[in-house]
Amino acid sequence: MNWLNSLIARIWGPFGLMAASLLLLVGIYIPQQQAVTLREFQVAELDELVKTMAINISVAGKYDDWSRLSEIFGNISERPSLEFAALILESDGQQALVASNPPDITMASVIELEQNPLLVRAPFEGGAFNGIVVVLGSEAYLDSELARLNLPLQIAMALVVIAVVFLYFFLARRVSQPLRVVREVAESIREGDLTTPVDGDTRIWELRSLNLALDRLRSGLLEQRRTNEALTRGMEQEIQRQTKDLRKTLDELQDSRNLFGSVIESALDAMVIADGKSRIVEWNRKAEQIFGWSREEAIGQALDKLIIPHVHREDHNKGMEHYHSSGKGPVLNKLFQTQALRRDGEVFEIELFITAVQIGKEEVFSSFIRDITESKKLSRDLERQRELNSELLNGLPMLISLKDVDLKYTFVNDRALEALEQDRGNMIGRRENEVFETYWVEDSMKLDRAVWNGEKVAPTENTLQREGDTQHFLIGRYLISVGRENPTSYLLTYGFEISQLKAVQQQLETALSTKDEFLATVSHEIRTPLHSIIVLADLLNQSNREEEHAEFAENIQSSSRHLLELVNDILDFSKASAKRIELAPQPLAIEQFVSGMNRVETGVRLGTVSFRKDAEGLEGVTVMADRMRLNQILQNLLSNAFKFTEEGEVCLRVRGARNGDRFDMEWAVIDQGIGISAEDQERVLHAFEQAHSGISRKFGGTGLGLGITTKLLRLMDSELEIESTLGQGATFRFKLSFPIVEPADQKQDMDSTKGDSISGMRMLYVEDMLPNQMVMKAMCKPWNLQLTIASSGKEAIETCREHTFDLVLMDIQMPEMDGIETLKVLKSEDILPSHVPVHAFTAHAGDDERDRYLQLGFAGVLTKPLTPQELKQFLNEHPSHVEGYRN
Amino acid sequence: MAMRMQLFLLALLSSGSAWSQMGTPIGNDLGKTQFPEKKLKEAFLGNRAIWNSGQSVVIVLTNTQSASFEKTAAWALNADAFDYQKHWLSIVFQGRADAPVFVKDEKEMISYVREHPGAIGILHQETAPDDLVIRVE
Repeated sequence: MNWLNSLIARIWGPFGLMAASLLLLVGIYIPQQQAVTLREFQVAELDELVKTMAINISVAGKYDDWSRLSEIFGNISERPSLEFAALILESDGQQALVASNPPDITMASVIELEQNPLLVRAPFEGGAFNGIVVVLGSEAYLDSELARLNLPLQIAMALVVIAVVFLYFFLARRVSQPLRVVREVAESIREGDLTTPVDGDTRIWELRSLNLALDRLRSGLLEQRRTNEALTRGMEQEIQRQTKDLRKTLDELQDSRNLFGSVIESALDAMVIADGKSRIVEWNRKAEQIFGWSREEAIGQALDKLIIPHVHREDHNKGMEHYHSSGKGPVLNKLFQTQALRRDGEVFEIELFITAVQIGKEEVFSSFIRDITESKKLSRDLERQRELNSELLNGLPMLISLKDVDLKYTFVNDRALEALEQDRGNMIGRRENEVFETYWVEDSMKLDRAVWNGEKVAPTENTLQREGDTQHFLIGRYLISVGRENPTSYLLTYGFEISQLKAVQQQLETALSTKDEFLATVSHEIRTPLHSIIVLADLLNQSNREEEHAEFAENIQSSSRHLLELVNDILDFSKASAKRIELAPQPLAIEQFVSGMNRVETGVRLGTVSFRKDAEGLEGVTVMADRMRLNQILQNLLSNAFKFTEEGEVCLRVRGARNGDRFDMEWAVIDQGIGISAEDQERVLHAFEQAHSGISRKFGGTGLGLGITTKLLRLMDSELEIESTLGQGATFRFKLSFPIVEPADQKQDMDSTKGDSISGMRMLYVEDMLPNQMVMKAMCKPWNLQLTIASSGKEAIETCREHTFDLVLMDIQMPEMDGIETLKVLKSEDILPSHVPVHAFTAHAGDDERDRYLQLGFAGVLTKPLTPQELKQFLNEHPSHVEGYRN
Repeated sequence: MAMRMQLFLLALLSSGSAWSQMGTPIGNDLGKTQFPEKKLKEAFLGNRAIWNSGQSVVIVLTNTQSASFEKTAAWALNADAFDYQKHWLSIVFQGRADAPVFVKDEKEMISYVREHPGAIGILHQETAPDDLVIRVE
């Protein structure tokens, strides 16, 4: 049977392949063919069914023979081969699905299945009924039918598979088992088992031959192995001996290497070793820190490309070539400074030491590198700081010098050199008495020694003569120490130039003297009219002659007015000095204004002086100007002109001309008086100053007039010019330019046209001072005015509760309740009707006070003293809102 | 009157609301009580398959071209003959009812009803022939 086994061993592979192919063919092809056939059969059956249905519908429609319809249609829903059946009627070309089985089928779903091969339709035409019957075959039914048909085939195939598997195991037992034995023997031989003999018992003769050959191979190998083992034992002993020697050498080498490595790694400087081709062979930790490259990255890299800046690479390469050719390296074994390159591209300063070492045939170069960036920076910072200190000391506006313990100059700043007119070279290292030959040198050196000895020396004042000019200095001294561990002391001398301070001090002393003179003058000017008023009032009291009364009263009035003008001048000058005067322009007919100017009464009889007005070009011109201040300027100038002219003429000359929308005027006040000397002309324009003190004594006056005039003219963008020769009169000239007011813009002059409208007015006057109450009564008596007087704020409140008034004049400064508080009560408690104006009547004459009173609720402000004419004009200009009293 | 009803024939002698008063159900053991119009309409719309006695409902209609069919369509479906025909076709197609039996005329209808228990037809006064004789046993 061996031949049979051999035959089987040869054919079982192809046989298995063929059997598998056949199974695949049968398993795939036959079910496919059956599916196609079944589908065709199903379609044919559906076609038959649908045609039958169509015919019966046609018959039923045509002949009213519905007898078969129930029979055909009744079991549609029970047919598993149908998915659905639908009845579609056509009418007027439109199709409508009238029934379906199952009933949830729609026309849209039928249209959607148009392309389905299992959708079968048949038209019918039966009288009224035209349309189509549609049925859809069931895929599920087809699948189930196909599965049913394929069941025998599947069983058959399963049997075939079982048979093939059985055959496989059968063949494996016959053929594969002996082969496995051969493989296992070969494996055991490979693993070294040469003692187990090969079992050659097999029915296949090729395999038996193979086993015999394998067994011979095993025997040969076994013999060879025994020989080898003997040789190996001898060699192993020799190797062990040599290995021991080598290990000892290696350990010594490793120790040496570890020592070298630890030295390199712990070095404070970067250590870079390169071979003769400039390839890096060693790179320590400090090098990693300095250059930014790790050891792994650096080893093997070209030295010049890694750490040498581009500008130095060529020099480096030339140096290396030179060394290789000549054996000379100028930079070797020397410490020098150069630059290196960091990983981030930064070029930085280094200190470098390079040494060449011969190792075998090769030469290596060890470089020790120190990063000196910080120290360089510190050095530069120190230098900069030193320059800054020098600049600072030299730039200070004071004299500074340093002297050592021998009192020799060690530093002198530029300002001191300039002031002392010395060179630095001439002073540094020399004592003060070796440089200067002046009277204060000895004293100065004594003071220096005193300071060195720890005495406190107050600053002294020294003078220097320079180009004919005297310079004053304040010199101070103190000791300074420089350095912490070993401090060095210096004497620092500083000096301030105080020449300007000296000059200012002189000016202040002069100004104080001037002010004292002014106060004396003002005191005299105030005392004089006061004396007249007191004496004349006393005489008035004593006199019983009426003809004297008028003369006394006139004198009292004149003295009082003079006193008032003086106080007004002082106030005006004070305000002008503080720049608190504001101009109040109003339309001013300039021709009428000039013609209204009269000679000014000076109170001093100086003989016969005529007054002439010479005006040209002013006809019909109205300008916007501050009438009061312009009048004040002219009154001051004219007052001076009349005051200082004993005989002759005072002339007011005005020339005007249009300049666009402005009117330019040149004013001049010309007198034939005593004149002003050239040197006094500048002085008289300043306040408090007259040409000389004798003027005050002779002509009177405070000297404020021209000062006020100058300041007012500056407010009007003008300057006062003086032309005068002593003893030949003076001309005061100034130019003014005001905006022209066209006739249409001019307002009616209310003041001149307003009539007397205060008769019958009910006025309350609140005043605590009895004399002032009497004055008010006297002033109001002729005007038929119903005056009520309250002596305090409380009385005023009570009076207002009981009576009605058209106007209230309120004193501000009163005891207990002042005018402001009284007004608050009157307003807040509605005691006084809101339309009744309350005017402040006060001696506080400043603009600030005026504004404050208006803000507090006063309707207007009247300033004491007040003439009856001024009061009457005020009452006319500020009538009450109640017009009833006029009736 | 003790009357054994052989025939279940409903004579429609009037129309409209008079139906319930004028109609008289007759038939084999079926007409012991009057049928409301609603129940009859259900039968003629195919919505009733079995009478209360257990017999199958058989609807008998004159041919579709007849005036009687037209009247039945109007009464049962409030539609014309075609729509009534279409209604029956659709419910028969869906298997919800058996197809009605179509006869040539009223006489044949009476004859059919007489011979088939459970059959029902409608005679309309306006369309019934003058010589029609209904025998009630």
